[in-house]
Amino acid sequence: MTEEHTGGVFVDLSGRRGRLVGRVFWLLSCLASAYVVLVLLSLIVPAGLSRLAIPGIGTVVPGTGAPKIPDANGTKQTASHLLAPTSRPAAGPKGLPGASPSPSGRRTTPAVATSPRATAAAASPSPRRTGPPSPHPTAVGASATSHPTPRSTKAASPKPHPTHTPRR
Amino acid sequence: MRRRIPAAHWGLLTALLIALFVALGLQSISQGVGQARTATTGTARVERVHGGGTVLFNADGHLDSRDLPDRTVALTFDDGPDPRWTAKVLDVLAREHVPATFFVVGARASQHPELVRRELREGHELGNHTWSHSDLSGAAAWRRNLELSLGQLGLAGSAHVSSALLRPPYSSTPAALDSHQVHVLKQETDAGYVIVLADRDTEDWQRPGVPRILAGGTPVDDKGHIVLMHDAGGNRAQTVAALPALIERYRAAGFRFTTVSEGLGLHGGVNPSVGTVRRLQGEFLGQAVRFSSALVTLISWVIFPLGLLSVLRTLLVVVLARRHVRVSAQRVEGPPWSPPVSVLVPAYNEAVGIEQALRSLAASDHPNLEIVVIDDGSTDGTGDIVESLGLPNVRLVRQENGGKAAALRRGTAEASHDILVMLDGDTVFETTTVRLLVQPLKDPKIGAVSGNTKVGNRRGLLGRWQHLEYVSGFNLDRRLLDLLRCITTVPGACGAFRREAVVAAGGLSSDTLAEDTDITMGILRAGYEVVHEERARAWTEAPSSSNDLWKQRYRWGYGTLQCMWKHRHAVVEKGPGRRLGLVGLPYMVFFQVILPLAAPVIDVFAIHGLLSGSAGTVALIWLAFAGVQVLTAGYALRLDRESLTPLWSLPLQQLFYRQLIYLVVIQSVVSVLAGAQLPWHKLHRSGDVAVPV
Repeated sequence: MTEEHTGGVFVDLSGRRGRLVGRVFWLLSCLASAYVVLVLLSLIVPAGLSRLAIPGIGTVVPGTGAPKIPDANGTKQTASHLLAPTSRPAAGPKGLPGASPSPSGRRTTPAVATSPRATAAAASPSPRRTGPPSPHPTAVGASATSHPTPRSTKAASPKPHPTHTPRR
Repeated sequence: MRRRIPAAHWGLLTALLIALFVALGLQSISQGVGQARTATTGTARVERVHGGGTVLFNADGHLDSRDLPDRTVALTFDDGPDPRWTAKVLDVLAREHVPATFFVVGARASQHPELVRRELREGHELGNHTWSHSDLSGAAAWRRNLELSLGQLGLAGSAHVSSALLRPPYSSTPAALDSHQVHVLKQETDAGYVIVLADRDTEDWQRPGVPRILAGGTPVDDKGHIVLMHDAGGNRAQTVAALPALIERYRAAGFRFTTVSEGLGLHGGVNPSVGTVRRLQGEFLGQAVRFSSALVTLISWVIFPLGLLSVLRTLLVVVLARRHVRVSAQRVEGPPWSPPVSVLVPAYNEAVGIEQALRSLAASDHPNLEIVVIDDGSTDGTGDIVESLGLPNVRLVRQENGGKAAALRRGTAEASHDILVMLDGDTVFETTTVRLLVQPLKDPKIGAVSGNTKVGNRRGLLGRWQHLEYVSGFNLDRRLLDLLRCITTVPGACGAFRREAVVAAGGLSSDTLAEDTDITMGILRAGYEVVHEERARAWTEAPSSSNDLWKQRYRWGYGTLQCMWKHRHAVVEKGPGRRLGLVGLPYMVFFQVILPLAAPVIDVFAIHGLLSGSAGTVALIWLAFAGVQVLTAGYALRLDRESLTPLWSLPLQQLFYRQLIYLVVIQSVVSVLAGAQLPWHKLHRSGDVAVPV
């Protein structure tokens, strides 16, 4: 059969190839779109943090207007109740050697190029993160005020080798 | 039934280009990592934080601070992880049994998660050092939030933990803070972060030498110390070398080593596990960063050789064009040759321009000319117009509509002579065109001659752009390919053929939509030469609307791909077709297929560059290419003795014309893949062809 009878070079008169190509293209489009959406979501959806409890200070509370943080018993305490007098080192400026500012000017331009505008964070005019960004604020609050978290972060649990004992 | 191509390719193209843009953006915000430097006070006044301690936190709405207990030291390492240096630092710490706190950069953590996990596994703790080592005090609020959030994701994805410890990049000691920096730190503590500064800054990022690193980190009193060092962001060999001695000095002074949280007496753990969603979010971001980096690298590796080839081709066409002028002149030296010639004019609905075309042929100065007009089933009275003209030596042949190739086959059969000249029904010849076109055929080795097709309707931007494209693109290319002895297309608007060469090539075929390229390739494979005679000018009507231009280039693109596939065996042929296979076909593949397919990627890179702070660089590159383009086109116009005036419109081609051309190539490729059957797409004719006097 000559090319003329088949409709010319490449021509598939049955249409099967066209339908297959169309399906493959739609699938690839969906994959590319999913990648874009997931990346943008990762950039837009803020990742939170767990608040820490500093002995003598209590839970590191956010600024005014933030929700109160419950203690281990579930009763909500005010920030001032959590605060306890701290035993601080001698007051006064540190004045440590090496603390003097370098004569060179401060970098004003970030090293990194500005990120794309299409982030929801760009729409937020407030410089302060007021809401609890963690997905489990009460759980965080509870863990921060009560017992140590059971996760085996090595910083919290004693290490097998003696790190606290001076060598000499 | 004519098969249409699926529209899915436009959706795919859009999705892919957006994905590429996002990948570039992701790579942008991950760049600038590891540029270590400690902060300096700016012009704002120095502000002392209450307590003057090295660990800052929010206490009932106020910024407060605390130091580590006396004779306690926390070694801290910023900017990691780095595959080369972090591992060495960890080895020293393990050997010395010393815990440390690592403030990791999120982008680096995503790229080297195994190092972050090792840090946790070996008993150290992790802190946030932002995503890309951004200077938070100099960034807008949204950027600060983004950096801190992504920094958390970097930890979540690499080690499945979060951290409330933060060390802002470019920070140092509490005494080095100015009021603006304190203001920013206050906001970060309001968000729940515990800011960890340092009071012993080794300044190891400057690589000042091991003695100075030791001097900067050595304890000066019995108070608690936080030592600032770096495990990434440059060559950290000095840091690694100084570390054992530094540890020894603290031990000798009776200090105990702790992590920052242990020194503060925290027992809740500063690196709690994150939930599944956060973990997946972090892992995905890490994968996306690695994918983006690989993708951009791969594309750069592809684009670079293409760019190099383009530059090489430009150099070749410019350098060799002058040589072609001499070669083509030598080709026709000697007494003029005046064989009998049959001019074939296939016409389908050419009522608007057929009269001007035929009168120009009748005015030819070549003796012994017969003109055969093949009316391919016109419905606008084209045949009647031809008959009514009553021009001498013009013969009309009518047939049912069968396409241009079918009309030319009929014309070849009806022609009386062995030298055939073919042109379109809207093309206007100069009086010397036929004579000049046939001269090279004096050499029996030559099977076909390409004329110099010019745009006769140059009004408007579209007309000017096509005029420049014909002169500096098509014709310069043809000069180069002539010297390389593999012209791949004798244009259907202006070409001369030896009948025996046409027969040897298998005759004009309807296999493809580009019958001119098809027959030219066939003639080459049959062992004949194909040459270019730039003085044989023909004036044609170019599409005057974007729609018509799209249709024309779609047919050309699709037809060219059909021809390349049909003659693909030339690549392995040992005979005369070898030149076509080794030079002509690869040339077409690179410059008529691959380069246009890559063009949208280049546009995305350019747009990203404009938006990401590299506008100056992008503008410079664009100007450089535009400059080369203008110079090349100017040279081509001079070779053709044309005016330089249209050159002003050339830079503007980058903004619409270039995009149309590469989109039509994409459409053509998709049509090929999908097996679509294209119609001829008759263009709108205005008859507005002006031949300069």
